[in-house]
Amino acid sequence: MAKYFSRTNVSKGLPRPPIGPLVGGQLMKGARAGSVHRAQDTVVGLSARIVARQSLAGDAWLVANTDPEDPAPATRTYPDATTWRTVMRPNVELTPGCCLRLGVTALPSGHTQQSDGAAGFESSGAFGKVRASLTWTDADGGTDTTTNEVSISASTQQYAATRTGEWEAWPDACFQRSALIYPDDTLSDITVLRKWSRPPINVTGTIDHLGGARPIDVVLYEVPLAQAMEVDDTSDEWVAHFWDLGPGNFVAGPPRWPREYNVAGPDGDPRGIHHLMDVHHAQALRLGPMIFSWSAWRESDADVTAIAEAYASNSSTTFLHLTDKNITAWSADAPGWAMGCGGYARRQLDNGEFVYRNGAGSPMIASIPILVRTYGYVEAGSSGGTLRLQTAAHNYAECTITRTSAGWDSHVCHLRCGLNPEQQVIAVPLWKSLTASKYVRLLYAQAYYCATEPAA
Amino acid sequence: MTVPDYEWGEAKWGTFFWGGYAAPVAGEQGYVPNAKPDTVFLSKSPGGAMASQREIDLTNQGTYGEETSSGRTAITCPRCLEVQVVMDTTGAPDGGMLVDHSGVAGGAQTYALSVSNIGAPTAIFYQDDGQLGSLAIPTSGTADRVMLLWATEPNILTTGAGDAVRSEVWIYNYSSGVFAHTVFTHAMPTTDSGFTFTVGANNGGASAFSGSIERVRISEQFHDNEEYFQDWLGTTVAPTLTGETRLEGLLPTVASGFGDDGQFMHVHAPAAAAVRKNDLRLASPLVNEVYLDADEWVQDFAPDEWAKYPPGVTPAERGAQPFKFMLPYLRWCPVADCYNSVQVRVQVQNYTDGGTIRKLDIRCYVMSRRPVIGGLLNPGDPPPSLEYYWVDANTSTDHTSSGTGEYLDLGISKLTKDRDHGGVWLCLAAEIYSGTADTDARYKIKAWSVEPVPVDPADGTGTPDDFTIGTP
Repeated sequence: MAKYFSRTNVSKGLPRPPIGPLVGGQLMKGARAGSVHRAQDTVVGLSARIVARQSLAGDAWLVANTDPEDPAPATRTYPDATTWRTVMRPNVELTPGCCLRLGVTALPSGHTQQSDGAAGFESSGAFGKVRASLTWTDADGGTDTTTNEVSISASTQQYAATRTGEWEAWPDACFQRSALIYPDDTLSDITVLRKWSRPPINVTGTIDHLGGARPIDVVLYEVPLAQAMEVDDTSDEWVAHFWDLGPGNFVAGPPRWPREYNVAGPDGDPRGIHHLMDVHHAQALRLGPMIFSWSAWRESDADVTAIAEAYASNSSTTFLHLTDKNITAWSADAPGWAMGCGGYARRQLDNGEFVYRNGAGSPMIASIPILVRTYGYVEAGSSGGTLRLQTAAHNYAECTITRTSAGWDSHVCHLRCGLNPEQQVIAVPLWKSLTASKYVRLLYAQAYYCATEPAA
Repeated sequence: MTVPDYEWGEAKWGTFFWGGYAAPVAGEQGYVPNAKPDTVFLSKSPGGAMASQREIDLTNQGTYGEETSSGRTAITCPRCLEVQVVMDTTGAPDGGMLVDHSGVAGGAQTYALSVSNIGAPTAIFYQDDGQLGSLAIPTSGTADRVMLLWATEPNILTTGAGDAVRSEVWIYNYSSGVFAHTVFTHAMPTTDSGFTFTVGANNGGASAFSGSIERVRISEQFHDNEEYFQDWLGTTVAPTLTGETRLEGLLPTVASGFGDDGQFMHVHAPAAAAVRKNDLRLASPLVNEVYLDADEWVQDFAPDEWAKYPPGVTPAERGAQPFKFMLPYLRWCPVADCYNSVQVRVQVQNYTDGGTIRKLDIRCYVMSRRPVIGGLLNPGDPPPSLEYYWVDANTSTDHTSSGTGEYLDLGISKLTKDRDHGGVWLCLAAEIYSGTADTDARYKIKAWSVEPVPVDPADGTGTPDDFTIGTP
């Protein structure tokens, strides 16, 4: 019979267990050991990782300020009310025990248009939405989907315009969040909660705009929720100790150590010292920072009549910067993604005391394994395209894209990062086509710490 | 780039001090910095005199070195081979076998790394009597010092036995300063502790390398490019940091047996030490953005409705065109409870459409709410208080309209929180300082990042002195 442990996760800081009472010669007490176990439980609750972000880029809104029905018959100057515009695609391994939430900062929405039944267009009302449409894949390959929308209020100005007086957009900007996003039955069925607690859990999908939405910033982020494990689950899947049992309604394990808890199973009782060691290594394997997410969407370049995903394109066979083609080589001054948070995931394996010589008694640099996911394609007949992330003259990783229709590719990389964000290390994106006159296109890219096999 | 001049010696585990006449450097591992815990063989010649902690020399066969029944080098994955040679890479390139671990001459290998000199010099990688891959060696002259690295690790993207291993190769030519790099996947090799390990030739002495081998290191861990660089090509100066750092804590695995009944080790103490900084384990950037075809802004930042004076900033204080918040750079970010500061960097391009280049000043504001009250308040209710901090940096450099620009390090700002939503509001503000309106001044913000950096305000070093706090 399956036996579960469960807990709810909340962000309340990490209690730092005292070491002094645990050193040799001290009397062991349950509370002293328990403080260590309890600390392992709080790590997941500290996640606020932003797994995808799409913000206003461009110097004008897609959604205009003009009369949608003038002149008559009106031309198509507004998006329609039913076609979602995909502006971002997340594809990440979720921190086990977390759900997601969508936060939207936006100006009041503008008009939409529909056919007037003849040759022109007419208003179909002012409204806008942002949604996250996600597919969740569990460790066994099972899937579920979620769709969550945030409605943005309509502008009350003439033609549902934005106000144009000095700084008038500021008081009009509103911030709204979706409900917590997790698969159905997660909080009502412990078997479902356990399914979405065992790593790796992959979340992929789209973030979309609809109608007259005028988003300034859209952020999809992790929120600590709850987790459950079954006692026979593999030891490297336990990213929490399950020592302090949260106020959930599920089957509770023993509340205090060293009470016996007899379980017949191949892994025995996941408690005590062995479990302490396993959780430590599972956390090192499974938990780490999200480094960046990137979208090629530019609001002012979008076309209301052809709602297609935006891309960056390059047919040069020599490296150019991904976002600024005037830059043709790596430079410490070139724009790129900050790698500083990678230093918080330094492993003993890559960054131990003897890995980097500590000439002055302290480490001087760090490096971590990351998984880079690219969503792009190359023109038919091309042998491929290369995206290079370069952090120094000597340090770079290359991601090759060979697919000829848009899709995801995953790339294992080892990149330099700062010891913490104070040490400036920037991953500069350079890219090129491997075949002359054939383009490579990139729509989205993401990168995060990954020390073990990601979800399929 | 010059070759670091490392000494060679016999510092061992447990060595507290090892030195000669020269004063040792605190924290260094004796005088054998490149002999690491994962090093199983380290030599500066094919003759095979060991320089690491494993005091087993190879048998010097004159033109090559060998060790029969070399169990210590029978490593499949993870593994790293590093070889430094001096060779002709041009007219008549040198070639031959560099490192080989095999049962019989010409037979299946655990690994073999050779240089082909048929045509341009090329590094060739073998295992199990098959070629896995190749990589052209950057060419320069007749006596180039070349450093080769071949590292293997489990392929976390494996789809089956055929791609269970990921190999990464780096080759650096000191003479030209050029790197070559490739990655390939392959199956796990077969090995045998009875195989012979040979440096400088095939098993048995054939195909001797015609250049000279300067260094060989065999390791039982994957080495990435950064470790390769720091070990052989140069070193980075350790930074001075005020914020916290985190390195994975050391704790034995269950398989080690240290946690079994009857063992002497007290696991809880190292576990407590290991978990104490795990609050940083998931720390991720609040903002980490790079803009495709970044927009060009002007001094007065248009459109008008997107700009706003930050709290406390007025023309009277700053001159004709003071800082203005820029709406496209307004961000709400969730924040975990354990961070109290953030590091801010902004990549800018400052230029002019004609006339004198101006000083561009960028601020990042960290706020507990938006600097205006959006939405309705109940009658009589005061607006929620605004707690805010800012950090700034400036440049007067003319980057030109097609230039790269530069990174402005705005430094560390204290963090505040949006108590309604558990996050923080961030916004950039810019000022082009000219005293009067300047219609020619231009700038772009091409990237910016805001990353959490916990600092200890009690230690006297972690609190920047330029924090500004106030309410509008």
